Amino acid sequence: MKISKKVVLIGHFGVGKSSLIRRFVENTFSDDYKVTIGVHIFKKSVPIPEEGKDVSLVIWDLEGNDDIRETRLSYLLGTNAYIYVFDVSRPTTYKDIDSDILYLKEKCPTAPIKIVGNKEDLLTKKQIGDLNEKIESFIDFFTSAKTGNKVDELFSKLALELINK
Amino acid sequence: MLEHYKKSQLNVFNQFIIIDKEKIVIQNESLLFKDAIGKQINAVHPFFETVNFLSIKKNEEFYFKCVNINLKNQHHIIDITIKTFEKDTNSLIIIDDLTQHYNNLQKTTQIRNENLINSQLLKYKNQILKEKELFKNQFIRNFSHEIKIPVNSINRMCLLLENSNLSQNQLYTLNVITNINNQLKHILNDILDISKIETGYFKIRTSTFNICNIIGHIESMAKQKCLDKQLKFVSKIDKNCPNFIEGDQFRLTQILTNLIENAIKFTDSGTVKLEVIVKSKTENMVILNFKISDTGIGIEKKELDAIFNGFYQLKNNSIKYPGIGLGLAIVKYLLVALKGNITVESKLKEGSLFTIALPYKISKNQIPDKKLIREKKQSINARKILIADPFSKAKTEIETILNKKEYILNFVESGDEVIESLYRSNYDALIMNTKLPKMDGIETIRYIRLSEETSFKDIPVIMVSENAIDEKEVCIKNKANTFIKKPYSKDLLIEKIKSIIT
Repeated sequence: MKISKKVVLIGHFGVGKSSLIRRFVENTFSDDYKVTIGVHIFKKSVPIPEEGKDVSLVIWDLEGNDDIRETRLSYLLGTNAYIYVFDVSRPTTYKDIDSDILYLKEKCPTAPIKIVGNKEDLLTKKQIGDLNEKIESFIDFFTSAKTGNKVDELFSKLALELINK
Repeated sequence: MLEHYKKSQLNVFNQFIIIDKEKIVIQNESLLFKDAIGKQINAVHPFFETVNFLSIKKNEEFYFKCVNINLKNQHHIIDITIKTFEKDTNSLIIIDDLTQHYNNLQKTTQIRNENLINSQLLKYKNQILKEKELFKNQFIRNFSHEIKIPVNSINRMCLLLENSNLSQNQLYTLNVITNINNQLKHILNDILDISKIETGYFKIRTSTFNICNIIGHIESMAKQKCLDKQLKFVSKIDKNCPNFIEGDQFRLTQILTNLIENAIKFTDSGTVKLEVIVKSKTENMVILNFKISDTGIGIEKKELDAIFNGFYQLKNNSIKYPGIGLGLAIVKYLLVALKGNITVESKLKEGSLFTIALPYKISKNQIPDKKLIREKKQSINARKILIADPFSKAKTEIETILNKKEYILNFVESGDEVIESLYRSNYDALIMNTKLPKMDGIETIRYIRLSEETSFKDIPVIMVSENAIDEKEVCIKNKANTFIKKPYSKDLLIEKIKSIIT
């Protein structure tokens, strides 16, 4: 039986949520920023060799907001996992990270949350290290949709986690 | 008729789908999701895969606004409403195709978001630059301070060495080291000044001072430097200028000194001029224009803005006129802090004119400075004396003893330089150490007296030596006017000078 899981990507606008999905689903990237309004829905099957199964990830790419509390609640219904994305080069996008994560946990206590710092290619390794120390919440992945760094790893790890839940 | 039109219009944008409790499509209007009847709703579009809660929630409505879907390469933006009922196990799905409406919204949001992102990025980059600048300045300040300690120690050690028994050549080398060390100290002070200003450690110290006095001191310094290059230095103060003003006299001196030193540096012949003009005056305030002009190499128009940047050097001239390019940057910074401004006009190969404007409060006590007027008059009749001594200590001693208003002093370090200076300029007297590198003092006076150059062959000469017994006789034999044994007193030096200068 094929397992289907809803994964919601959430975060400020312009942090690269759509680019991460495009990199994961189509393995493409564009430097041009195109705003997402509402929600885009994508689907990709992820094989889990350890379990001998495939997980069908239905990925909801939500429009970015200055404040994630403005997100339409219906979008969050039935979510199996969240990917909270911020832009490492814009402090505005991670300044409220701790309270945002608390909010998501309140809305869906059982759904795992992966915190992702995207556009890591814009900073040096030292700057990434400093940023990691500065942010209190644990950052699961520093990704780059542009280079593809850690993108597949992020979704594969999440898929494995979801199948074992 | 109205109902008919309404229905036909709605049909273009609306689609109703009914699914049963097994989530199979049992009724469908063919707007977007065609050929869906009989299929599991999950198979119609991935959106429906994740609405499993339909079987749990009863008699509710769920609204999913602005859902982007791609169907047969066509992009649609739709609102989806899902209704469940209390008794009926079927559910109703209503699709509203609002693509056009949302496309308009997207354009507006795109512009808004792009502007916000750009502004956030600029703010962040600016913050990073400020942090880097602060770090750089603090680093330079600490670093320069640490370097200044050994530089001062080198100077002290050089002074100690100077007083030990060194040969002529060793003394000459020591003097070169001292001069280079002094240059290094000067550069460090400039760098420290810049970093102090940029890190906010710079303080303005206001006091009442006499503007004529400041100009007088600067004039003495400038005349000394101009002598070396055979330049003429002229200064002029507006008669309407108040004697006493309130401001930071130390920084004014620093600004004018930097500009005049630059003017002298880049001028090979002609005149350097300092003029103080009252630009505007009220009962309490005065704005003074300080004009520093030269007949030097000039600056190309395209370089005029860049010259005030730190570490900037004039193109094609950095070898002939070396320096680190901080002087004008310091001037600019200081003027901003003192609420003044600077303009520059220049013509290549003709010269430059720097005009600075500075506001000052006029002091309430305008006591006529008789002493200063006297000193100023004296400076016009000042005597020019050439001093040849390789020891920097001697320079300091003579500078301390001889009143700068009465004497214009020019220092050289070797016999060759004495002869060169005498050919270039007229002097009223020569004070010369017998110990000089290359051509010593005795050889030099012999050359002078045997010379047929009328401008200096009879110049009054005072020979100076530590060894009176051996050298006094030789000096007098070679037609030195008089002789002084080191160390000498202030009174003795003045008495000897007055005795030979008529």
